[in-house]
Amino acid sequence: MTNTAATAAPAIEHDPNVAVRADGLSKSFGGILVLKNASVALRKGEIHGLVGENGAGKSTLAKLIGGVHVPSGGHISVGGRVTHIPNPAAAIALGIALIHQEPLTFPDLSVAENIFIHRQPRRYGIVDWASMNAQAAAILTSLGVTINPRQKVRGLSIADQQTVEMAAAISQHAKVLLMDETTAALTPSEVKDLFRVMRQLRDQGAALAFIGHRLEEIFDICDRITILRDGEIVGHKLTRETSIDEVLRLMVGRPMDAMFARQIDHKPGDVALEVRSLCRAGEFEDISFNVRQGEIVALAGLVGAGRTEVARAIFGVAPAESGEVLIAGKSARINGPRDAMRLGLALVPEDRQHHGVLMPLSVWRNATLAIADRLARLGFVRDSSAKSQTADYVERLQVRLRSIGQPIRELSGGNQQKIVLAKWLMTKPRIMILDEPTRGIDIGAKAEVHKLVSSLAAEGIAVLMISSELPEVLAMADRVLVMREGRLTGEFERKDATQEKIMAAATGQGVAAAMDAAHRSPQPSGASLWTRFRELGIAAVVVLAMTIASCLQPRFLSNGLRGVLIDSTLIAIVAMGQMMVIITRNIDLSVGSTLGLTAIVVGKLLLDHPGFSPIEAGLIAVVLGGMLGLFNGLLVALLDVPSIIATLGTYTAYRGLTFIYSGGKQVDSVPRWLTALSQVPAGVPWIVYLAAGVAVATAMWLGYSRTGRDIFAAGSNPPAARLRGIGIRGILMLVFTITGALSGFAGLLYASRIPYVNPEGAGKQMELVVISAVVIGGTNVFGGSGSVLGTVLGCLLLGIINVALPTLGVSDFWQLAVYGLCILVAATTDTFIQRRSGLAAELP
Amino acid sequence: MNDLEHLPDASAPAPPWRRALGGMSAARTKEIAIAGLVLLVGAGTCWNNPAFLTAYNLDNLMQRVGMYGIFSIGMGLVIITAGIDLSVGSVFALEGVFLSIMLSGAWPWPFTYFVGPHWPWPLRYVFGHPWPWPVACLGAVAIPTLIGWFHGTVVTRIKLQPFIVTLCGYLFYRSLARTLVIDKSQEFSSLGGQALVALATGHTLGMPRSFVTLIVVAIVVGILLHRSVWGRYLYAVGRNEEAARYSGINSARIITSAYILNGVIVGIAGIFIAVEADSVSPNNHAVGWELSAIAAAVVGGCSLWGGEGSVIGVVLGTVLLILLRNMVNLVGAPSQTEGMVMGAVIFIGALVDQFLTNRRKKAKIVYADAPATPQRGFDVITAGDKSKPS
Repeated sequence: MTNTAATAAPAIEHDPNVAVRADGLSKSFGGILVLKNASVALRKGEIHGLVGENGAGKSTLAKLIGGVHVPSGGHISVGGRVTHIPNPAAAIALGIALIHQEPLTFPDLSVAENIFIHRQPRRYGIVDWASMNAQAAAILTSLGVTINPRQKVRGLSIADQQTVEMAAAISQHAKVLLMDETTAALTPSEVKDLFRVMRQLRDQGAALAFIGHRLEEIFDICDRITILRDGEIVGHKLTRETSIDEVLRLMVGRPMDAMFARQIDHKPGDVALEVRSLCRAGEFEDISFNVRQGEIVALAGLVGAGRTEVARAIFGVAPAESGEVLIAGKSARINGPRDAMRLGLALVPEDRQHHGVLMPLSVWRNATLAIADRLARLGFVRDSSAKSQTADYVERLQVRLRSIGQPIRELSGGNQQKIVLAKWLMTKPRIMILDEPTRGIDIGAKAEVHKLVSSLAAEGIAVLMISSELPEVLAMADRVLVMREGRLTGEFERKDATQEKIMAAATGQGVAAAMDAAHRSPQPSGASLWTRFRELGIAAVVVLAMTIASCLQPRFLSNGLRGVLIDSTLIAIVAMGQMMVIITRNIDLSVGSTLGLTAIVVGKLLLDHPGFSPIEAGLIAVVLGGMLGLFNGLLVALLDVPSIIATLGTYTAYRGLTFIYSGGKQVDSVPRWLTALSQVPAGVPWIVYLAAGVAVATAMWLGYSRTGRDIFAAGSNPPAARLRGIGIRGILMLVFTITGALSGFAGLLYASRIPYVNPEGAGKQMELVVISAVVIGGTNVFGGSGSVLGTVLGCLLLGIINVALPTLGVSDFWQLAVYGLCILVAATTDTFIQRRSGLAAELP
Repeated sequence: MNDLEHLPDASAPAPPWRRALGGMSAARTKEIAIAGLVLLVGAGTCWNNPAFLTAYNLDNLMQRVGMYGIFSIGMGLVIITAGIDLSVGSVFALEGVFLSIMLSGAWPWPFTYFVGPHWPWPLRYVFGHPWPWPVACLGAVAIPTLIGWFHGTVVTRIKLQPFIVTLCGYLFYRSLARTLVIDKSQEFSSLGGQALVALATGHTLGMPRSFVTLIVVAIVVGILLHRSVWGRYLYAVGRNEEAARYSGINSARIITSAYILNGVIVGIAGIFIAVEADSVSPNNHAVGWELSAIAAAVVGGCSLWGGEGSVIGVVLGTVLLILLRNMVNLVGAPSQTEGMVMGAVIFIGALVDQFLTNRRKKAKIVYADAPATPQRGFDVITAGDKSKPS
């Protein structure tokens, strides 16, 4: 559902060439104004570049137009009409699409599906794959790229994934595309391809906005450039009327007096930290520099230059693959932060919220986390000394707070950062690495932090400061190092450094980027092969198992197989539902209890009222099971209870209900037609046909209906699914209801195998067998993928094991254990393969 | 990459309801709530059926609280690391069987089957003759400890989800137990464990020994959790493993040690459980008991996403569950409805937890940059990386 609310203001005088106009837009976060009074017009058939330093506000501007944020002031006009864009879906409805640096795609779905999810073309009500693939191919061709629309997105490179995102936007008739730093992760040849696509779109009349850092790219692709600085627009230029130098000057030129002026009255001492030829594939290469005692070395550059990676490598969070780190002249082996701390290093991380502090914990607990063991005596913490130390530093750093016992999340950003600094100062470091120490802090606190850092240097600490704010760099540093795309591209002494020089080195004027071939190779598409292989693999295992079994017991194929089939059918029916639940990243532990409850209820019903026809009985079973499943769905989807807890509760609750309803007595006689289901008309019992029917129906629904495909999307990437308008809550409720209904149906069939229904035993431990079958069958425990065929094969395999084990002379004690082993093998290989193909890293 | 976007919109003091509680932490609030519930249920049962207050009933209750409470504490530890242990019941079966073998000096079946009458020396040393009960108990406790080490290592090194690992354990250990004694029930009193039985079912200071042991375990674990560096690190790791690493904490070692400690605790509880049942039938012994522990822990304030929980809360949760079961009995309902009651309690516990978390999230002013929205359901079990926003 999309919301677009056109405000009451009448259409202002409108240039038909302008697709989107922003007037006086401003945005503040947490009281800090990041964009003020920004006005820009995106014209059709034009590529409009937005440039500026980190934090200049260009990304915020794009996000405002793209609907990710709502403006704090000003308005946006689309097609001449002032419009309110509350969310990205609304923007898409207006024809505005935001393409992200990290693409929001569904890794488990094909390229064509990524483009058309939730809107697939249909024929006679079912998804028309042929048409979808053809249309996808057409769009991709019109963009000038050769990507196979049937390929799973998982194997694609970032560049290709961005193209898929663009194709999706175009298929939704986007006429305005905002490209937010999309080239940052691309190789030069990929950038060329992207630009070709962009030019094609421009020539077709789209309005494109391009945010980027590499000025040579901007000048290559953009027709018009808007420069932002400190949240304001400082220039609109036509590309052909300006030069890189002028743009640079506009980007950085600002009065310098606002910043804290550092008094340097000491000479740096010996070299405290030295790194030589540090390399880490894909992140940085050949990094060598040193920092002396009492010196502040600034590491400048653009976001993504690799500076944080260098810091993390020195500190041991993600150590370098080659090169040396020397502390006080001695080579150091730093395998983890603990080692680094022992050598006197400290790291104030860039991501304060997730790496710097633990939000719910109190101020003093956060502050003393790094020295907790030093403060302790015999392993026991001494809270009093922890609190008093914290109080000391709070005073010394002038942290504004209510009490040191309050949760740190209640403090403002600046004060939180001071606590982080305090935490590391308590470790009495000799070398401090500060990663963006004043990001997200107001001016006043910034000055205080600068004063503090300055005094630390005066005390003899060696400071390596990573910063993207040039005034800060110039005010604080004794020396400035500049990185670009993983390499050092400049070094300046304090007296020589200027903003232009640093910016030039950071944006790569005159420096070639040699990183490309090394790290941007596309990820192996092994993952899509793996799914095919997985199904074949398990089919092979099943065949193997049957062969072995029939070799050992010649009558296996005639007698044993029937037993296998009958055993497997109930499991298979329920497994269809469980598979869907797991695809959506949930689990249903209550299927066994649901089966038992419906078995008892229907069994008793048939006993008391033998007049019920099979169809009616079946309907009752399915509806009852569905309601039980719906309850699960409500808990999980509406009340946000984790599915493991919710279904744990219903697991016990339904079992109890079973007992209450049956009064503890089993249901003894079951109608003939029911038991007939397990009889053998011509070798294959009816029940098997029923199960096969359910499996086929599931496969059809999952493969050919929009809702079925939505289930996969919801599991593959929930935020992206929401963005495309897929109602996750509805999907979850549906999936749990279906699982309940299938369990109910299985409950009815349960009675056909054994002529009585025991309230305690019916369905006991079944959920485990079902989960085992699903996992063994290849359904990804991380969600997003699964196949009916694999699950059916998994059920067959478990059935064979069940029947074959006694034949092999293995006691039935081991039946469950063998299941367990199968799960372990399946899960381990899946995890291993996923990590190889980079899946695990991509998970949101 | 503009992390300004996560900042709160303003800086203001805490909402009134929190201030009213005198700045009490959420943990304390939950503990008080459960204590209140316990009193309520107790009073209600008492009023309904005075048999509740008889010495016999109270003694029975204390004994059960002791038994269940011990391993619930262990489960609480694992849950604090954002993990889970589904194998506890099967471990009890394995431990019970092992204990009976050590006490009685019987030969485990597989060895007889495979190796024949001539045993290699180490096995002949361990099996085939009865051990005095202290040694047998030590041996029995060693089994869950080793299993705990194994789980912890697989979770931290191979990075399999705790759910999957312990699910396989659930399936595997019981089979092993059944194999060792060919599925025969083991009886302690007849197998030479009389001294142990007397010890474990006896009384100290008027209270059942299991209850006393619970108190001891609770105190020890409580000190560890709340007063030691290890405990601080455990909470930090459970809360946000990445941030803990950045602060120099060895999260792999902490998590593994939590599983090992859980193993020791399970081992201790397992002795009481085996002896109380007197007859350990490997197929049925302690089936499903892990759910009781999970229920007690969750109700007692442990969040499945890790980083939260207290020993007192878990013990209170156990008391609540036992009381509810007792109430069901005294009211005259069939024992299977206990399961329903437990289910209801789990719901309520989870809902209340959800409610408190949502209140915290909604109070934008103060809690705006609270930890990321937890993923749904299974995700909690599969993806341990809670630190990334969704």
